[in-house]
Amino acid sequence: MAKKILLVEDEQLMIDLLKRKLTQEGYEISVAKDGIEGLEKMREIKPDLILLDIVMPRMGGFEVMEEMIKEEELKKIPVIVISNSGQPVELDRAKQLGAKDWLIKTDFDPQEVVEKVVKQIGR
Amino acid sequence: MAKKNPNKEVIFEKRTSVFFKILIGLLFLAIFPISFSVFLTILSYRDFIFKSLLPDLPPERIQDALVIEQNIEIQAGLILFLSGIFALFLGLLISRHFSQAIGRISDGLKKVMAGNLDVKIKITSRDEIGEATYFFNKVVENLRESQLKLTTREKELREKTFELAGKVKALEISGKETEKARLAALNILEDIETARTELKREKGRIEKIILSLVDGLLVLQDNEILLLNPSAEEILRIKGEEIFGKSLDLLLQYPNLKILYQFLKKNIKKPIVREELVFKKPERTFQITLIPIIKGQDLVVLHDVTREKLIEQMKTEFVSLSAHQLRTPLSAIKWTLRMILDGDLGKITKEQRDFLQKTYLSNERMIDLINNLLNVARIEEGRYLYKLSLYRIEDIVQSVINSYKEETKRRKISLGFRKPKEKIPKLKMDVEKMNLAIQNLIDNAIRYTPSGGEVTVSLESDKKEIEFEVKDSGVGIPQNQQERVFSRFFRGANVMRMETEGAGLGLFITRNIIEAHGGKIWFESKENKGTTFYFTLPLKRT
Repeated sequence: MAKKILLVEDEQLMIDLLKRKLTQEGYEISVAKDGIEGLEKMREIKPDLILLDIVMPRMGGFEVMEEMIKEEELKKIPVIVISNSGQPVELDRAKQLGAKDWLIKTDFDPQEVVEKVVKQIGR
Repeated sequence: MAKKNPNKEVIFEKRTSVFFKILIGLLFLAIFPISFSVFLTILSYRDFIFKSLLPDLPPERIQDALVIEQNIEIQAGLILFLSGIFALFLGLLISRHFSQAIGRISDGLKKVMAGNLDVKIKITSRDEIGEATYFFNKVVENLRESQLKLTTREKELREKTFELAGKVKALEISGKETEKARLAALNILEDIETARTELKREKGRIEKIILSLVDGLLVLQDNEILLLNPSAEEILRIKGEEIFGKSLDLLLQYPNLKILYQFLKKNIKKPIVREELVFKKPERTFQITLIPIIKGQDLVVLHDVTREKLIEQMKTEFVSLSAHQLRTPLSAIKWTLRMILDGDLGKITKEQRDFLQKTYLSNERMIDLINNLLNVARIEEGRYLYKLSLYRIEDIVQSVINSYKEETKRRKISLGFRKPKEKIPKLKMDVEKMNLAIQNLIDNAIRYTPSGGEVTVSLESDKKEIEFEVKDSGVGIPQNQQERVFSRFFRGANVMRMETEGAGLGLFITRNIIEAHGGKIWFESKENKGTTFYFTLPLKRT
């Protein structure tokens, strides 16, 4: 059975690209376009991994992680933060909140995202 | 007389007396000639008596007797005459003797009366007159002496008077000077008073300043609080009178001040220490500066940086947001191109691939530019270094060199690394930034070295510092532009002709990174010969 990845991201082009890439790699992708939707989806589908953007409308990535910590079920799901900015403050905060890995969009490409995903949950 | 006065001065050894002189004179005048004439008369009459007594005296004899008697008369008369002359002579002699002596005394007295005291009468006799003369002389001499004394005294007196007059004058002068001095003293006093007033005013002013200072001020004397301004009272929420003269331990009673107490305990007796502390309820961030002022006394400044922190945070957020705004589309382009180039979205022609490859690189440059701008913005924020960790610089250099292997191979540039002879110890650094600095230097060296050139990186260290060197055989930096190398947006004129890419931020960022690590950076360059960049990092950071 394919591993389930929840992609929480507001930028449609990024969603399309990642969905395409990760589907090609054999993962099952669900998408949420903001934090609130993201939390709902993860409770619902219980993904194996979450790819989480930080800056989003309604609810950002940090708040999502703060909420996740509170819920036993969600706490266990590994999170890879996809950030636009590489500011150390943000990266540190992400780590503090339990993110397994992080990547800066401009510094990485879809192939590297796949590598990080594989590293976390395998194929 | 002589015996009545036992103190009588012995003037003459053999003293005669006027009395005796007169007596002798009188004797000579009267008694002696009388006796003598009587004797002669008796002698003359002896014959007459003898003859008268004889009975038969012839008449011739009587005649003879008469003649004899006549002779006797003549003789007596003669004697009388002679005695008279003699008496007259003697009288004259005696009276002259006395008159002269007394006259001399009288003359002397006259002279003395006239004021001449140089009189000395010759003593001619050893009698009372002589004595008188002697005493006269003595008196005159005494007089003279006393006058001399008097004169001397007078002279002395005059001198004294003169001296006194001098003194009086001097006193007058000194009086004037005293007056002057008094006035000067008054002036000085006035000045002091003015200065004191000024000082008081100044003190008042300073006190007012301290009192109205927004920053909290505390003065500590050996673990005791000496001074506390109203701002500090407000910030610490304590009253000065509650804690004056009491130990710092008292701060522990105020729950919010535990942090301050710990900071003070830890840092007292150190040179200037600055730290940020967060006080709760309401949450405010204070920059606490501890400054030793004089021995045993420290000044603590509590500066509210809550707002600054907020602004700083807002700025970070703004930068983050801008980055997000700018980078999101760039990321999307990058990822799209990458996936097309990787064939994830189907096959493409070679021509399409070439164009897309170039577009991809352009996009990468754009991303780089934005990243650099963000770095510069952070440098300007002043908090550039983040999270220092112990790391081996050699590993960074090696990884950067590795990342350029392909490019150097393609461009036929030999890239060498002279490793340090001894292992360099780990160093506290911001790894990401250090990586950026080293990458910028090596990248520049490779980029501005033509094909077939050489780039050599070397790393050395002594006990004090690490020295990094990257030497290229590139185009060099024009002499007249060398001082601008580390400024923002600088690009060498020769380099601009050669390659348009580059924002001119790399070396600015690099220098900031090296200096933030306590290091130094410099270079040597000759146009068309090559450039060597050096930097050093201290092994022990102060």
